[in-house]
Amino acid sequence: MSGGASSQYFIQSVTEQESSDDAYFSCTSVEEGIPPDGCPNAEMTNGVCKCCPPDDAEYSQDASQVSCVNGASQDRIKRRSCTRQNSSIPGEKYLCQKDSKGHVSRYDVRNFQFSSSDCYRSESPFSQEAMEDDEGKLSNKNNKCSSSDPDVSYQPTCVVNSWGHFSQCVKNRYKYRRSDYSSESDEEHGIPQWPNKPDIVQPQKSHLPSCDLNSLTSVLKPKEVSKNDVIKNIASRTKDGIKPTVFKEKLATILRWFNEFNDIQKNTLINRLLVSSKTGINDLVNDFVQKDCDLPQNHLLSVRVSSQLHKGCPPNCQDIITWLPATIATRIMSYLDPVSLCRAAQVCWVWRYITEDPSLWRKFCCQQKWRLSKAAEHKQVISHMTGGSIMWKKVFAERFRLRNNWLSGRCTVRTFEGHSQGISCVQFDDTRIVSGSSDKTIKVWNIRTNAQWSVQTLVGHSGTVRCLHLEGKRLVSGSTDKSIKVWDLSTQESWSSIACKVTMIGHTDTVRCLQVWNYEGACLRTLMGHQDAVTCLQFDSTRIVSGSLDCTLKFWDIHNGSCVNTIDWKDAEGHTGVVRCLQADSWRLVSAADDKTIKVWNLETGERLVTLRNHTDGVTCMQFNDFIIVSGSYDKTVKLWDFSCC
Amino acid sequence: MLKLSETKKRNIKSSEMPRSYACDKAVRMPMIKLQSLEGEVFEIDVEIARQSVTIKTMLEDLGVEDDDEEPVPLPNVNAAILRKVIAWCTYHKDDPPPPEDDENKEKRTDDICSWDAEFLKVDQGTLFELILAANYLDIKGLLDVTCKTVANMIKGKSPEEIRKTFNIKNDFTPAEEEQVRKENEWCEEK
Repeated sequence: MSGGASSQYFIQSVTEQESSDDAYFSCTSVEEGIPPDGCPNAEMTNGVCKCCPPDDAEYSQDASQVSCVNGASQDRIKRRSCTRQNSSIPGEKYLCQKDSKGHVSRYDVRNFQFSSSDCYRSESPFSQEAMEDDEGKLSNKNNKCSSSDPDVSYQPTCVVNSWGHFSQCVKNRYKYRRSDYSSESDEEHGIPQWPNKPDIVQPQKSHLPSCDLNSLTSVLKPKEVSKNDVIKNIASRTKDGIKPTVFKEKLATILRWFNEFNDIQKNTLINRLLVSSKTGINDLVNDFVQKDCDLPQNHLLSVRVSSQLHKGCPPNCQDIITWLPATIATRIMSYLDPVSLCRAAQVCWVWRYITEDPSLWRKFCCQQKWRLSKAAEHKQVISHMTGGSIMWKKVFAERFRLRNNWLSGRCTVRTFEGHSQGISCVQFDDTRIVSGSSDKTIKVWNIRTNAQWSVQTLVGHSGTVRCLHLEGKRLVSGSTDKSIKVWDLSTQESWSSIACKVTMIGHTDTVRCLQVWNYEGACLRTLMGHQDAVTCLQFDSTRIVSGSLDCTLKFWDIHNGSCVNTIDWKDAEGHTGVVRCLQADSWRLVSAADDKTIKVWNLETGERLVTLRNHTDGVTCMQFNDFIIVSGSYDKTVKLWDFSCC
Repeated sequence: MLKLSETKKRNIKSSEMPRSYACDKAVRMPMIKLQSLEGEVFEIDVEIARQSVTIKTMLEDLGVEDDDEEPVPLPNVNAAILRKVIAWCTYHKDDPPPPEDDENKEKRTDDICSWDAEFLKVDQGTLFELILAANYLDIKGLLDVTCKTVANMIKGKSPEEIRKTFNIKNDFTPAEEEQVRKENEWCEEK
């Protein structure tokens, strides 16, 4: 026995229809009466050779030969002669083949062709077609047809017929390929020239397994012909698969297994099959290098499935955020800045719900940058409470807008008129503004309105009221008359004489400034730098800020006393007039000067943020909180600059 | 020199080991087996696996021995993702433990190392699964970096651009959309 366990030819079908038959035949010559060795299905029954037949074929004996009937199609084949290849037996060697239509032909080894003379066709009127392949190429005694082996360069005129005759073409020679022949024979033949054969264009690989040379594309693109392309195309469509009967079994098994899987397991399988490239350059393990699914499969998927893919899915099935657990979605959102978070809220309902989570906004409100003074925060938070819970987003929105107003100088200005001379000092709290003036009076204004009648005037000093300190209901004032007075401001209108509680006399000169505090200490350091008198200063734990008659502001490091920064009018748009007063809080510095302006500075960088102009004369005094600045000026007015949102 | 693993195979009790082999202990790398949902088993160094608080807790609670033949089942993680998680943990095995989240500090997203950035150049589906896996396995570093990556996909985009990125359908009616826009227009003020 040659060629291994089963010397069989296999015929590749080029049509998509699956024939369950192998169309392999290999059997002993009946004359010998010997069962074919190694033929798995061979039986010798009354001289009938059955081998590799379709299950429903019947065989009948005929004269000296075995003939078979294709039971399925009920065609009666008159004769079939089949022989098994046995190289040790010279002489008659025949290979039979049967195509899907049941037509049988015998391969004449010596002539290297499937001879039509040995073909027995059914009586069907289509018998003639059996002789033709899909392209109308004849496979008969004269015309040889062959298909390509992908490894070999191929003549463009070679095609495969329906019987799947194939051959190798080596250079200019045809070689009929026999899978298990012990010997191969070459044949020198000229290449049959097919007249008017169109030039063909092929992509590297066809997306359709059975796609034949597409004459349409050839019409469209006549230029791109390549032998290799053609060969590859044909090779791809005649790529070796497994034998059809084996395939049928395996397919049934796979389907059975698949139906036993649950959804997760099915998805795992599909994931593995689908085209996936190596997942990233950093994988330790080479995974997903093997492509199980390739172009033909992807094409099939796209054609069959793509319109259906999300049919049953809930809305926004692909959105990561929607389908993560809420805690994780919130966690992702917590990495966003406020502006991005607001934009995210406008994306869709689910995103809006997630981004409205108060904890996100509370986190912003707790950050140093967004904090207000304790009192202000307290008030603000209470104002946004509903039903026991705080609407942090609204709180934040207010602070955000407030800050923007400060940074761009957007404010409303209210003017309080009434003093008959320049204002020298001003203070305010939640309800009132207190101003002291050169006209020797102190006026108490209602902060909410500047109507004429809501001002109290405190008379008592005999000189310019130079300084004030307001603490709750107590007001302490100092004056050029060398006295300090303590006033009680209750909500009942109290007139000046009643209000003045204490007069303290003791200073020998103008009481220029005062503050009620407790402090004991000694002079640690003297900071030199200003060109002229220092008019005002403020300090905290890290720095001192001072303003001077030399029109500059200076920042000092409190620990080593060095001057960190100087702001003058040339380099930093500083004041062009004597700096009269300043105040700083956690992030900004506000200064007022004889140049009629109030300027707001970034405390860290010294960058000027805003210049506020409204006074018609030098600004002498000023105080501010998170929402407002109150300033007094030589122009006899007190002005309130309101940055809170309208 | 007898390796520790070999001594175990020969059932030599470690207490009976001669002193001179004590230095072998230093090179010992205890391994742990993890089993993905499809049943695929991955053997990794216990120290690497302990980056996952879930696994760490399991080890402590169950007292899983070294060289235990039973793999730890992770039924919520498939093999492909588990492989990636292991790759990440292996690269980051020497990282210092991540600091506790400071509530009041501004959270940054621009501090993803370049290896991680490359590692996370995957499709959104994979990113999604990595987040879930990091959450299930409680690996804070991986969860942080994946969340930051998603946050970076959102940052700086207009609502329409965000929808395009994540394939989201706008389910607001025009009136609702206008209302939401008004609610949020304060953020656009300069």
